[in-house]
Amino acid sequence: MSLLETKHLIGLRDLSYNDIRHLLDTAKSFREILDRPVKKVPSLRGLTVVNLFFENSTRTRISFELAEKRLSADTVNFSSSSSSLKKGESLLDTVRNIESMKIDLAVVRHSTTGVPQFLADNTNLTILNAGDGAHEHPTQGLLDMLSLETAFGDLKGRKISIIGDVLHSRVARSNIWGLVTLGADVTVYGPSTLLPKDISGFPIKIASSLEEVVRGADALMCLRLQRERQDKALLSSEREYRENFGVTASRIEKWNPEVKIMHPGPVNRNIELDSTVVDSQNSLILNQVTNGVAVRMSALYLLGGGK
Amino acid sequence: MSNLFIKNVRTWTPTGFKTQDIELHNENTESPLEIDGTGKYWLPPLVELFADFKEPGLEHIYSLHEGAEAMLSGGFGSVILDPNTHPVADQQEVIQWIQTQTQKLELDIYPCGALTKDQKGVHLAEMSSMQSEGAQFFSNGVRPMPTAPILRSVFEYAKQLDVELMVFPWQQDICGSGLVHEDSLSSILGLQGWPSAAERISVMTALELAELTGVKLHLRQLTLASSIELVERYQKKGVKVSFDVNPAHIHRNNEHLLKLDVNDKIIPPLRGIKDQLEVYELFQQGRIPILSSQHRPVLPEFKNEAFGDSKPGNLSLELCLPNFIQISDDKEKILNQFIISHSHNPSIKLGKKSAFEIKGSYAGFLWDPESVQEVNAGTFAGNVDNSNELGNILKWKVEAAYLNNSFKMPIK
Repeated sequence: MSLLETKHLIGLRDLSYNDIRHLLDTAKSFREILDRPVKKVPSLRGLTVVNLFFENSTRTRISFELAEKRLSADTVNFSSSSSSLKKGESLLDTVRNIESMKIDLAVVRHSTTGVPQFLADNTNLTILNAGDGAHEHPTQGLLDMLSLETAFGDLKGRKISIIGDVLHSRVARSNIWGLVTLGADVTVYGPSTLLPKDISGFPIKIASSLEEVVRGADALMCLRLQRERQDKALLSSEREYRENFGVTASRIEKWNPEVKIMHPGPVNRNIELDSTVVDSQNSLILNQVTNGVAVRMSALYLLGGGK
Repeated sequence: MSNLFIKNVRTWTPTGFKTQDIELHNENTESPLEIDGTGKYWLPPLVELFADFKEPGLEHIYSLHEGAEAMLSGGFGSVILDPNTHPVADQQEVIQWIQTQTQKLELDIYPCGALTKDQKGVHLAEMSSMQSEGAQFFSNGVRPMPTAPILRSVFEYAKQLDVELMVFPWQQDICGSGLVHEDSLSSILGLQGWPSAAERISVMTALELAELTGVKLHLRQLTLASSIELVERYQKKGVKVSFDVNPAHIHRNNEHLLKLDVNDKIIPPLRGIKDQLEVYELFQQGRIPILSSQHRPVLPEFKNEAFGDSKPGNLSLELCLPNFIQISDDKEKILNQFIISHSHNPSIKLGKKSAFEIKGSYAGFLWDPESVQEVNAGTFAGNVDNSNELGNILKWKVEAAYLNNSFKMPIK
């Protein structure tokens, strides 16, 4: 069914250059369709997609649902809070039951690393990972790359900086793998408690200061700071975080006025990013959201073997 | 009763392998029996210091009888049980019950008492009354070590009772909810790591308290050369401490985890390749006196989950020797080291006069190194098959056992 080399989209780490290129180029076509008065195409008519969100989500879920509807797929939604999982049914039994209803493709989000791969290995569904634990969030990575390509063209040699809680970020991981495959240089920076304990397996650099990571970048990808990190002694305070790691308007003006600003959302305004920076002309944040629908249409279309 | 002769069989002795004839008294038959042992091995029963047979209370998962079946199938004659029963083996009634059940079996199955009530690490368990029912060993099982002040009390009490503690050195507050070895792979997978430092800190805590209290301590499942070197340093100081290593940490490393195979999820986790090679080097140098494979049955429904949500544990009894012997092409050398550390040395710890002993009588297993088996669910006792060898083809199989003055063949 898949028009890609891969049958499932689990992550960008193992995705080939050709598949990434195919996904992004197709997304660009869908991006144009989204600007038309009639945004719906019949590409996935007859295909049934289930959105298996075992973890809460607003924007990703809406983005996927919209992408499915734009492609004319039949969609059903699953929420773990009202499911038989609550009654003790295993994850695999739940999904196999859903699969028996003649579903073709499943969009899966789960708080545990490996759930999408596990379902790909143990069911006949085509699996599209919408985020698993701190592992990968491939469509977010792709939509970020699409946004960057729209701004810069070819990403080869472009310097992309990721700032913040990389340790817990599946967005950061997918971006690292995808951007490096496209030839970009990736640098990360953040509190030492919120960086991966061992980065030797990643093709990236760690900057030694905020100034260094901002000055050298074509784009800054700021990650959302989760407030509960303070409870685990990973963070002293939001005030101190902003002081040391916040991308403020004055820092941008001083160190790199042209740099593009990205954020996977939702933004904690005036903590990781100044409100004026979020709303500035440098910001690609709303483009990212729009591109999210196009990228998800692309992924669904190519995995679903659309016509 | 008649005599049984196994002719021309390679036999393990404390000084190495010899080809010889074995003569045994066999109560199973009235007529003499002669077996051609050419190409086969006569080995002492293996000893496992860390087995979870679940009974009493969890026999829907696994039972003492299923554990005994697994032992026979894998050439084991003795095990020390995990106190992880329901109720926890923290009182004399549980120990008494296990003793009554296991006395009926032809194998040596030693109950092990918990260190603390309900294994919660808060209140001392009734070690004295469990000892009076025959418990010689006490352990935290796979639960974290109690905090240092509680552990000190446990050690002081155990010292007074003159019992040996089998402590699995890990602390929840350091390991957190780590699932895998902390290194670049855990970072890539986004899984919380279990750092090497956590093991060394726990080992150091236990060693210092053992020195302070004078207790007899056995540290279980060490995974790092640096931890082993720490223990050796304290042994030289006269601290009564021994240790074991899981063969899995000698022949596997965390590269296997890239596929997120739930059967590679064990506690402590598979370490990095450098750690594995360092531990293997120590094994080759004879500095790992005891191997312990940690037999831990997990029902399929608890393994049939994504890696992060599945229960840790691996079945080891049935395939321990066939699995481990693949590590080297010099089969007799590796087999000799394996028998020393998985039979001879732990037999001494159990107070046996000889490695060829079960329930006070001579015992042994006849192994066929050329017998081939495809590992599938039927390879294992009970309703569990949580083995990372599933689907593999392995050589070396138990052909027969001599137990309780009887020759039994074939073994499943």
